[in-house]
Amino acid sequence: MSSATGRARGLGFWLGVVWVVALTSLAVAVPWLPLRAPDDTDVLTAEQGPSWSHLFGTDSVGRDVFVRVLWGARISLIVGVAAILIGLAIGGSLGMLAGFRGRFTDRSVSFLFDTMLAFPAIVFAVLITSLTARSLVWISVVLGLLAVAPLGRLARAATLAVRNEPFVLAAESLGARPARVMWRELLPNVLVPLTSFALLGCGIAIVAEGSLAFLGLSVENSISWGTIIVDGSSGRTLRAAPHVALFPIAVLFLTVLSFNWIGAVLQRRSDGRTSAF
Amino acid sequence: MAGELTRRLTRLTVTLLAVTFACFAAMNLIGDPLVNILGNAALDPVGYGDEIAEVTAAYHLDDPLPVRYGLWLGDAVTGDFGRSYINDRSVSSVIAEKLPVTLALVLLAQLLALAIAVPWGVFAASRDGALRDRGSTVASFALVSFPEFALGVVLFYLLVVRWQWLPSRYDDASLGTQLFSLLAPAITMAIPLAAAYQRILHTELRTVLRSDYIAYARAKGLPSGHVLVHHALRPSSFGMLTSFGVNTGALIGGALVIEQIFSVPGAGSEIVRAIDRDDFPTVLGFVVVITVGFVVANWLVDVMYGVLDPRTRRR
Repeated sequence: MSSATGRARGLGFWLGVVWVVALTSLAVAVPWLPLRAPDDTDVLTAEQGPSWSHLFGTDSVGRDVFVRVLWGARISLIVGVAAILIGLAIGGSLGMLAGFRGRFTDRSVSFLFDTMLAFPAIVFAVLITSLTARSLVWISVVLGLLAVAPLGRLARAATLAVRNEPFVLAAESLGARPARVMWRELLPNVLVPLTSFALLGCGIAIVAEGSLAFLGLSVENSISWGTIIVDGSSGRTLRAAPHVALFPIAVLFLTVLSFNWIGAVLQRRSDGRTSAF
Repeated sequence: MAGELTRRLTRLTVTLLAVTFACFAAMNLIGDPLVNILGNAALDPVGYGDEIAEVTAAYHLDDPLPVRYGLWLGDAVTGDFGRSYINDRSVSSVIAEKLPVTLALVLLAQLLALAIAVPWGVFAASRDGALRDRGSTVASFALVSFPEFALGVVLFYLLVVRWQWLPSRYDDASLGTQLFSLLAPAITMAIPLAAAYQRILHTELRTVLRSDYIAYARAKGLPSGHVLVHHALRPSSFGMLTSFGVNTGALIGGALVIEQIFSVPGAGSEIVRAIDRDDFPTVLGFVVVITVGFVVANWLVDVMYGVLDPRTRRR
């Protein structure tokens, strides 16, 4: 897309940033905001549509959907970010090691990545979460493991692209240790493409948590966007009070869209060759 | 060609061994098959010694993990995935019953996606830089970003609950009713897919339309619609086809959630039920079949390449 490469970040990028920042601050601040508790039920005001006292209306037991969405943002954002950090740490270092060392290391790591990618992702997540405790940490770890192979492959490719550049060879011939070459010379070049991809990954991880919630496998005893949407999407609730599911879905969509858009803009800026957007 | 085939088959075999072993080990190390089969009786060895001994012998539970995996594998290559822990049904027969439903769903979704994506992509690429070009880019971006399960809820609400255009219950009385009741979940899966295919086709068409032979065809005076469909479409469709193959596997995984939302009794629902009850032979059977399907679909795409693109045939 030649017309877009030269353009500045654009309005969409900044709208996305504003959305993510606002959402994150609200999610952090929600315990101290003068709002109802997320589990406060009130049967008298159940299934009411949106109003000034309940921005997103109330659900089938009278809980305030807006407040629940803000609390849900805490779990969903933590899962999204933590999963990608885990994926970056494991996949990034394995991929860089493979690209840097080459030969046997490269072949075995690449085989590992291929095998992981051959495995249907959601089946893996369901399998592991059904076998383990469904704590926040475990869900993040499982989704993080799913991010290892795609991020690792990218890290390997980015490492290979600069592996034989003069500045790397110069550092090596000056006697720099492999760890130092990887940390000081390779990492800065790998991190740029990896970051924009990681933002896309955040969106994917948040959605994956929601998918797990539909299978009853999300974080236990807590509010996430997934569990809120599941609560609102039984046939009965959808008929009587569709807003219970539709508002959280809108928030989820805007968040994923923001992550994707920011990621795509950064990707375009960091690499002129990608024509995705 | 033969060497390439051997290499691919070796790779397929090794991948499958790794995946099945990982799955087998996870289910055996994290769960306890004895407890899964006998329930709480396994925790009370005094009263149920005979049953425990019987099950242990029948499922070779005293053997080390690699031996048990070997035994399972020996049966699996002959198409025998063992029996369900829960109702003692043969896993192969459960797969034979449930998988066709999911495959019908995935196929229907893929066909719908292509039926939307090809005209859309051609339309979007037909005028470079016009509103339809940039508008399609933004629209497909938004649709790809729409979480599939959320789209499922929205469409379930609109098509089934609110407007009641489509049935809420799965009905396999005849092929017609079956396809009709699969339509709502298939549309859900098709929409983000169509957006993704459109995006790929659009990008490739844009490149192809700038090439010399297209300029020549136009200079000959051929109508631009004819050039687009008969000259530009085929060489632009390879990226979309690759994606088609890759997505088939991903779609079967995605069907897990979609089948739950629309209560479709396919492989997805069965896997969820089996995992819920620790029915691990059933889970393993489905995982193997899905993974084989995934890898074979990718292989088929490569074969299709040769048929569609004469340039790759010569080698």
